[in-house]
Amino acid sequence: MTLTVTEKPNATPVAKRSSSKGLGWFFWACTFWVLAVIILAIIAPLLPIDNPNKTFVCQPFSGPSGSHLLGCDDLGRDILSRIIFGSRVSMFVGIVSIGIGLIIGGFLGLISGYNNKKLDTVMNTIANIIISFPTLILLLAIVAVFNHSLIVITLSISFISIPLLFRVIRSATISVANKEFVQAARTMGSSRIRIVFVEILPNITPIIVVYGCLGIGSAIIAEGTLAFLGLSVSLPTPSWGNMIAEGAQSFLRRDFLLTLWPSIMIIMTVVCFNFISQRLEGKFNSGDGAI
Amino acid sequence: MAGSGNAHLRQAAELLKIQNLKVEFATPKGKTEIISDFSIDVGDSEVLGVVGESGCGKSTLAKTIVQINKAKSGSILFEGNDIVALSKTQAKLISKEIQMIFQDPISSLNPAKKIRNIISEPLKIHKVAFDERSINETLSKVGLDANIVLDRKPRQFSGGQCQRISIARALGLSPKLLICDEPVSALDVSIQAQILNLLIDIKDEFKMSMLFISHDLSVIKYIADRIAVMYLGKLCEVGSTDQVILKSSHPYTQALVDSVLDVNSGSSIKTRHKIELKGEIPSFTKPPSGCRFRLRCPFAQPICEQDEPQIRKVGEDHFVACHFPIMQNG
Repeated sequence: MTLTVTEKPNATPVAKRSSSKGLGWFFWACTFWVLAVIILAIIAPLLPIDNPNKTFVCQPFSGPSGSHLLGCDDLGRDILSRIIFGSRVSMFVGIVSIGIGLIIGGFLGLISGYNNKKLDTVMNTIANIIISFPTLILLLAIVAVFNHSLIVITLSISFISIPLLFRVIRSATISVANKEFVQAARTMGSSRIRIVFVEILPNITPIIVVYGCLGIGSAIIAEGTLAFLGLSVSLPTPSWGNMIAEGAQSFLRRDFLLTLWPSIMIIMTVVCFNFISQRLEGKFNSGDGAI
Repeated sequence: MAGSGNAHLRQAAELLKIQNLKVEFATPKGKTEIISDFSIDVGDSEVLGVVGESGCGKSTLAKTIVQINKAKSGSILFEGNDIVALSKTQAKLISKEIQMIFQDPISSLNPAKKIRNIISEPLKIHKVAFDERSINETLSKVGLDANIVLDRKPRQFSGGQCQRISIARALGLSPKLLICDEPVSALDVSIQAQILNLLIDIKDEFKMSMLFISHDLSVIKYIADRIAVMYLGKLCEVGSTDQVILKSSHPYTQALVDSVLDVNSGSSIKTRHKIELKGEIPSFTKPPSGCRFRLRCPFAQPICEQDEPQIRKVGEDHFVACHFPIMQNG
C-alpha cells in the first residue's frame, strides 16, 4: 500500500478540544476578587483614601458613615484605608513567600525526583524533619530568634513551605520520570537538565499552579496568625491580623465591627484562593493536561 | 537452545555488532542476568527481526543499545565504536545515529508539548539547523499533513497517528539505525499494516538499518531480512527470514512458527506434530542448567541438562544453538 494516507478525516474530530465545559462563573468571581485585592494593594498609595495612620476627629467605634465608609477604629483611624493598606502585607507575604517556596522547593523536588537516589534520600529526610515540627511553633521560634520585620516573616513562611512544596513536586516528578517519553528523550541524547526542564517541568506545571494557589491561602492565614499574636509587622503599620487583634483587645472596649471587616477580608481571600486551586485541579484532572 | 558462541557473526564490517553482551539488573535477591552472552550483528540497510516471548530480554537489548540500560560486559560496536565504553560526549554523537521507536505510541510523546516541539526536539538537542519546511517534509514522509498536525498535542491523535509522529521524530536526524521496540503491538491490525509499510518505505528511502523487536512472528516475517530468536536472554537461532521460518531448526522456533495461524497456505500444514509450548518462561533468577529451553523442550535429553549447546551452522546463513536441531527437507 502506498503511504500517502494523510489521515485527514481522523484528525479533525479528535482535534475538538474537550474543554468545552468552562471553569464556571464562581471561579471567575473568585479570580476577580483576588485580582482586585492584589491591584488595590499595589496602587494603595495612589488611591484617594485617607492615610491609614492619620487620626481623625471622629467618635471612636462610630460605625460606617459618609466620610468614613467602614467607620473609625479606637484611635479614630479610617478602617477602609487601613484594610486596603493592610492587604499589602497579607498579599506580599502570601505571594512572595510561596513564590520563593515554589522556586526553591520546586527546583529541589525536580532534581531529587529525577533519577538521583542518594540525593533524593538525603533531601527527603531533611524535608521530613522540617515537616515534623509544628508549623506555628517553628514560626514563633524563627520570629523570636530574628525579628518580626516583613522580610523575616516572609522568609520564615517560605522556609516552612519549601519542604511541603518539595514533597508535592518531587512525587509528581517521579510519576512523570517513569513515562516512556522521558526514555525517548534519553535515547535522543538529551541531557539530564534538559530532560528535567523541557520534558518533565511542562507536565507538572498544573500541579505547581494548583499547590501555589493553595499555599498562598495558607501563607495569608499564617501571617494573620502571627499578626494577631503581635508578631508580624510592627504597629502602627496595618495588617489584617493586627486589626483583628486591635478589635478584640482594644484598650477601651471590644469592637465587633473592627474585628469583622479584616476577618471578612481574610476569609474571602483565602476561600477564593482555595476555590481557584480546587477548580484548576479539577480542570487539569479532567484530561485537559498542561496549561 | 539458548546457546553461546559467535559462529554466526559475519566477518564483513557490519553497522552494529554486539559481542558477548551481558546485562544485569539488581533485584532484592541479588543480581539477575537478563541478557547472557548474547551476540548478533546488523548489516547495512538490513532489517533484523528479534523475536521471543514476553520477558525474554528483547526490550532490554534495545534499551542497552540506546544507552538506557548499562551493559555489564561485552561490546556493542556501532561502526567500530564500542557504545559500552564511550564517554558522554561520544555517546551523544552516537545517539544521533541510533533512534528508537517505542511500543506505546501515545505515552512515548510528551503530552504537554505541541507536535511541533516534539518533532524538533532531537534537532535542538543535537543543534541541527532546521526550519518549518524541513519539519513539514519529514511529516509528509510519514503521511501526515503538517497544517493539521503541528499545533496540536499528542492526546488529540489516535495511536496510529502518534506512531507516525514518533517515526517522524526519529527520522529528523536521518539515523543510520532505527530500533523499533514492538512498534505495532499496541495498534489494531489494520493500522499495523499501514505502519509496517511505512517503516519499509522509509527504510528504503533513508537507506537505514533496522532492529525490529516483536513477539509476533507474522509481523517479523513481513518486515525482516534476518531473524534472531531469543529465549531467556540467549540466542537460539539466527538466519535469513526464509530459513528461520520455513526450515526452523530449533524446537523453540518451531513452536513459535506453529503458534502462528496461517490461513493462506493450506499446503504448509505438515504431517509432523506441531510443537506446543507449555508452561511459563522460567525465571531469570534461576535459569535452568545447560540448555535454557530444556524444561519446555519435547526433545530434551540428558546432555541438554549438562552442556550448554554452542551455536553452529546448519545452512547458508542459518545458525542454531541446539544439541538436536530439527532437520527439515527442502
